[in-house]
Amino acid sequence: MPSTADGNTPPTRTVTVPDEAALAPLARRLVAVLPPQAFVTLEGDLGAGKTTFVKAVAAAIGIDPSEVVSPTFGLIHVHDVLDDLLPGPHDRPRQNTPERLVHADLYRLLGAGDLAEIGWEDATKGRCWVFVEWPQRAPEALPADRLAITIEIDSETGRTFRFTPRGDFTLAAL
Amino acid sequence: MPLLAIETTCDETAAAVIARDRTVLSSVVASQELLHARWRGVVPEVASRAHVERIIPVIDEAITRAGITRADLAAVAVAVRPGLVGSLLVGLSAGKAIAAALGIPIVGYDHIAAHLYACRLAHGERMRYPCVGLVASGGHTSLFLVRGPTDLERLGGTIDDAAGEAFDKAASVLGLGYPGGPQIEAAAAGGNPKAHRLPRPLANDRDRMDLSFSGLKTALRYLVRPPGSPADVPAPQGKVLADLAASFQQAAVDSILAKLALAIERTGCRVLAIGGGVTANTLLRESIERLGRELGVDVLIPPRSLCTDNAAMGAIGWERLERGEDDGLELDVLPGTDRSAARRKMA
Repeated sequence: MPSTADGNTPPTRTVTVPDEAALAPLARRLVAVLPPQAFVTLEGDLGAGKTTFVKAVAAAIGIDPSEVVSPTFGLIHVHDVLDDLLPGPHDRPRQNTPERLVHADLYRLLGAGDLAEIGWEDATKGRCWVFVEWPQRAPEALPADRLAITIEIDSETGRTFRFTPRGDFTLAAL
Repeated sequence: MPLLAIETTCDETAAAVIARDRTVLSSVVASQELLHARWRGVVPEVASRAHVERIIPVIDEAITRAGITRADLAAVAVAVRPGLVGSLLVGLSAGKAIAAALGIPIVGYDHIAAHLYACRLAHGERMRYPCVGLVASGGHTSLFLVRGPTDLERLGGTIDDAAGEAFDKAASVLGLGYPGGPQIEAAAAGGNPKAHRLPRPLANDRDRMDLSFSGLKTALRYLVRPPGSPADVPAPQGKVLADLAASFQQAAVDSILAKLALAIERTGCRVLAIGGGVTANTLLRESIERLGRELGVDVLIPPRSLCTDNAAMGAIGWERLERGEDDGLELDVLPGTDRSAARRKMA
């Protein structure tokens, strides 16, 4: 049940998924409403499915999900979005797609000071979608306008996703 | 005259001096020798700034320990992929400066191919091509058909967590410290590896040589903290911990073994070369050696100092230099992941 905005509470949208197979349609719905430049944070316990959800997002824009591996060690993975890999006409118009999918994990960082040194600015600027796991490691590095996603473990297969726009980020109905 | 090899692919700053007959004259790794212990996987020295601060002292130390001077160097070899742009550029810039100042050749090399070349350093003529190669470390888990020292065809690899990362995350789930490999191994001693039925994702999928560890990590978490349980469940202790650690370790090793056996069967290779820090795990090492005996395959595993990140394996640079190759000052870094690197052919 989606909560409503009352001026103080961010309008969080809550979606429950029964199993991993249900991530694909959820990712397609998100992809359809994300602007071509978007910053998205992912929070959730080890094993909640943060990277698994980014795989589903990647698949929804034509990137081979097996190429989307955990960025815990590599810190920033950049996947080019190639027009000829985009799925068919039933999906979003091509001018609305990002040029890159940037998948980052800040788990190993001590703070934003480290970010400046790993090419963070270059990697995250321009028409791209940035999905960041463990954003709480460097809160000061996050843009004010962003989409915060939290994933809770309900059962061995079930998860609850909460989508909360921050700042001026707006999210059409999922 | 020897070769200077430089490594800044991720956290480690390393340099080594290697003679043309592949004798390692010196090998210096900054993270082991100059830095303090890490805490739960946090690597504050990850920043390229740290590479900048360490690169010249590390190179100087390697040259001094080799008993030579810079003027004695025949060439420079630099790891140019995979890794972070900023970190890779530090090693490349240092290498270029030395090559330009001395007027000597410079060649780039692939960090992953170099991990397998460590088998050539450790085992000499036993490293025959083609062979099957496995690199399993904190950041990489990939399987190759190795046609020559610099000619690798990627057969498969992890589709989520690297093997070493799986051990790190399992250790975190079990309330153990970092790095996870040695912690899990110690905790597993005396434990029953069959106590828990943990998944071996993709292990029975004979259509692909990819590996997956993410589901194993999550299954372990469910055993320690079932869904719906409070966040402050105490960490397992004693026999409970030992059984969990042993069961996890067995599942991780089984997953790797299944793909090694498949790769040997599909390629017909009679040599299996292993590289990367995860090979320090005793169960994995012994299991691979047993697999080799069963299949009649020669298993090559370098000593630990050549399995973890180091620049001695940059001896692979000699392979290109002996072909008369010189990348010159045009040499650039090729950042990215294992898989994206595998798609690009090194000149």
